[in-house]
Amino acid sequence: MAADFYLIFYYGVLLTGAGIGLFYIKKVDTPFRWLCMLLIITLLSEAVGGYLSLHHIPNGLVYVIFTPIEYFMYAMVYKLFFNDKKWTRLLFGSIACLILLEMINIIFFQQPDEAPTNIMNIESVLLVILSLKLFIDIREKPIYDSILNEGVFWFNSAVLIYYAFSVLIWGLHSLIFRLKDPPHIIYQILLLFSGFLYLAYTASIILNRVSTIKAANRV
Amino acid sequence: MNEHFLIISNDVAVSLFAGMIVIGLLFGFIIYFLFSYRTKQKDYKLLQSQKEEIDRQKIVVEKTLDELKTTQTQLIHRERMASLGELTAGIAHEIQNPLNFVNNFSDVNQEMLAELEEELKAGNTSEALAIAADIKENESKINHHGKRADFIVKGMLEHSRSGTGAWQPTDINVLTNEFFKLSYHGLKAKDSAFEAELVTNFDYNLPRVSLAQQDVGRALLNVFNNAFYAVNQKQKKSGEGYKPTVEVRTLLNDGFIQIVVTDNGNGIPDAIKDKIMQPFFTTKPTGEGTGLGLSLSYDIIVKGHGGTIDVKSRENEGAEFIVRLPLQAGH
Repeated sequence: MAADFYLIFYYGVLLTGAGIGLFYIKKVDTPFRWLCMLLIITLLSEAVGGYLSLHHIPNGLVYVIFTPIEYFMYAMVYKLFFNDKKWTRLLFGSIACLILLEMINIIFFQQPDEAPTNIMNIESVLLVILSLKLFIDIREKPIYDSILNEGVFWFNSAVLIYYAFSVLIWGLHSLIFRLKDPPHIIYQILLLFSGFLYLAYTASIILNRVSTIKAANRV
Repeated sequence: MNEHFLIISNDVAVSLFAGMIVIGLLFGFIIYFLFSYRTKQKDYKLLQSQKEEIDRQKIVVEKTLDELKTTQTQLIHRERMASLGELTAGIAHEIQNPLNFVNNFSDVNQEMLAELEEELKAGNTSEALAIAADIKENESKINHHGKRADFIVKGMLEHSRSGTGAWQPTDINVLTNEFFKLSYHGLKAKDSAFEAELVTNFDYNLPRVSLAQQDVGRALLNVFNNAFYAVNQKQKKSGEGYKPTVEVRTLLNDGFIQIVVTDNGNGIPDAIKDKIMQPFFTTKPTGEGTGLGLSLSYDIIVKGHGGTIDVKSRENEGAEFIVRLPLQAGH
């Protein structure tokens, strides 16, 4: 029953976030458009993954495909926030590296029908770095009147907390899965954190929409 | 097996605990970020307002600079007109000479034409031909002096015109002599009591050099005017025993044509020697000088022609201005 609550919370938040993303995709600033797309694609991948899982078909391939796409979208969001040529090059370079590493991972370490936890771990580390960099940038140029009312703050905070946690989870993944009976609480915490991540994304999209309306009214 | 399970389980617990600490630290980081953001924001806003103020002041300064440039252009033009005024008397004197020639030869020609008519009526062809030859010669003299007057008037017009004059191969001796005389007669017209000895010592082997004739003429005029002004001032103080002399000599030295102007006036005090080329610096009484003369000369010779102006002076003994113009002046 408890497990059902976490699943309902996770899918409920993701569905709501994707719905709001779909609704606001053309009404928010460009970085948040990518975030809307990310929510929609995440929902699609989770739907496909869940469907395959229900029919007892290995769904690892869904995550093999989804992980680089997800990172690409994050990279686009950060590229737009950084607005810096050097970082644009670094971001595109990191996308290429991640794809290459995924290929190496499939060939040497994890089969395509397994979830690419190694790559997910690397992706998480990269996103933590990008998140810290964005915090530094925002602090260096504090243009926002009230940072708590800015979508970028909630988005970036969520990325930092979730992916730092994700590094821990995926880092321990292989260790946990050696257990005969893996602790269920790990999955529940993961679902809870993921739910909060998408909740924060949804909030940041709404906050950005509010900001754009305010800016339009000022003009 | 149980032992193995326990070891792994403990590892997981320790790792989870460490992970939670890391996440706690990250929350701490975000809270720190929020506080530091506010502090930084205050500084940033202050900086922005200062930047806006600087931008505003920059606009004001740029506007002032534009106004200054306009004023400078007007002042330069006024200086030109003022020096033209000073030149007027000299020009009048210079034009008077060729005009006298023109008038005299014209009168002579009229008389000779009457004679020619008489000779022709008398059928004295050889005499008529001789008179005709004289008339022709007189006519060429009228033409020559007419052209000279034309040259002076054109020079005067060029002098009053704004902008840089045309560059053309120039005989420095002719140019120097022209403006030397104009300057002298200009001062003499203002002060009829003024008398000075004009000494010219030209190197007639100087090559022609390409330069903005009227600009260099104007620069030399300012130097000559100062020399004549200096000797005139000294004459007023010294009385009979003093013989005002201004000498100009030209020479070729090390790829440069030198025009050396020496006077035996009061000289330039050491204290102001460094200032005489500065704009608006003048020792003349109010209304007599704009203080732009030597400054303009400096601009024309040094900046315009890549030359130099040097001053040597001994107080109460006189001054020497050395204008150096490169043979290959660039423009």
